[in-house]
Amino acid sequence: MLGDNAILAVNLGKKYGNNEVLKNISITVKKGEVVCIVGPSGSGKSTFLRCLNYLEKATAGDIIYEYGQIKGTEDLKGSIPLSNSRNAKKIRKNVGMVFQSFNLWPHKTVLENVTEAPILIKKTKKSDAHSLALKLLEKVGMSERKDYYPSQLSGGQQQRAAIARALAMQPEIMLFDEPTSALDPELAGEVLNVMKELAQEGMTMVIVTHEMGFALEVADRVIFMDGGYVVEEGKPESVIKNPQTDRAKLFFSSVLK
Amino acid sequence: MEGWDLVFKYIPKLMEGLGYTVISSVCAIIIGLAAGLTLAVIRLGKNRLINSVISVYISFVRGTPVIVQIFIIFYVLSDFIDLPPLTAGIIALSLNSGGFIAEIIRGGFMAIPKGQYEVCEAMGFSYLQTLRRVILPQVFKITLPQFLNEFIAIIKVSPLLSMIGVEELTRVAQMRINNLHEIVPLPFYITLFVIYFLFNSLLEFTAGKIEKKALLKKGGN
Repeated sequence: MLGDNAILAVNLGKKYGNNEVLKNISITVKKGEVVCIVGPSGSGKSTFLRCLNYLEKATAGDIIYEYGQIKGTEDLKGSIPLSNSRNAKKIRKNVGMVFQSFNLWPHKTVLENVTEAPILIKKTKKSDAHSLALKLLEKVGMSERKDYYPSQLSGGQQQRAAIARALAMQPEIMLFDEPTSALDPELAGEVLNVMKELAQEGMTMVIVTHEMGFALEVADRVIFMDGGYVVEEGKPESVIKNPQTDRAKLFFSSVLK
Repeated sequence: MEGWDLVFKYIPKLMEGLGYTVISSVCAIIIGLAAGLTLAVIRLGKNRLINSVISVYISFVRGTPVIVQIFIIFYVLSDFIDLPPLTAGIIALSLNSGGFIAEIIRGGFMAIPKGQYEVCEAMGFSYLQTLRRVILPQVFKITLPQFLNEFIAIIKVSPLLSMIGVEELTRVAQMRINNLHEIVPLPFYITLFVIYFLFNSLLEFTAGKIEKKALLKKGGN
């Protein structure tokens, strides 16, 4: 069913009471593909991303990975299936996530932030986790600050450390939820460079972002969402530079000024 | 000044009393911490019935005089079992500090951003792992000053245990004063004042050191 696809989201829906924030969304992400999801605030793009690792519970549809499947809760008459949380656990071991607000653990050093999950969740040996962490911190340019606490770092440094922390679980897929929205352009650049490098190494990535330049340069595909729908989808050049729908034209003409 | 020779004579007795003060306060704060932490964690769950029972308990603890709580515990318990006053006193103080500490810890939990839970969830932590490795260490750091204040507060209410016959510091002094009619009470009270003050100052000093160390290590956050 999956073939060379990494993620299959089929007819996904999400309702908060009567408020429908995701409407029948079907998206496929291929292995090694970089997909950027763009759109105005409130379009449902972050909610969609959070459904992918079960931080939000989709109310309808299916999310399928090779590690397991998550079903929409409403399809099962309100009772949340046990298999969902069991499968979510397997999925989360292979799917890393990076947040807008970094969410580093403030009581741990950068290095401890990166070694914590492998040791605790994957039962990696301390020395192995340590050497992996050093390698990853080198990669994101944070080796020199490995003994700093998060509060001693700039936003860009925190986000790069957070990326290293997610990579320490050695995920096959990475989800990014507006990773640079809390950063000024210079610091955002540092983070985007790290992400670009990841993309070049063949990591499967789904990125919710407002960085159109990054999407143009790095994404294999861009998805434009609005009002809970996927409005346009395709090559970055065509979606961003030559949108077909009025809604997308309006959006891109205002953000590309 | 008159009366100080008697104070010096009774210093060993007073120290024995201080021993009971310290034992009852330390036990109360430790049991209170365990109880308060348990209540605060239970309250994180969304069971309405259990949560309202806990908030009623906390309002009782906060809304009534400690002395009345001590008497009630002492007389209720002594209906069922033959309890030494010290034990009853420790139970009463523990129940009291448990209520206050539950509130302190709840405040600590509320200060932790939602993202701290989410990132753990996204990485596959269980709820208990999240609490133990990420949330509680931060909660303890945030609440440490209030927690030490609570400890000092417990020491200051511990003289109330004298009302049910626990021979703690204040009661020892009072018994001397009552037994010897010709005695001048003031030197005894000044001595109590100094002992309590020194003891709590020592606590506060230690607390300050610990706090400073924690702050430095965590880079001021």
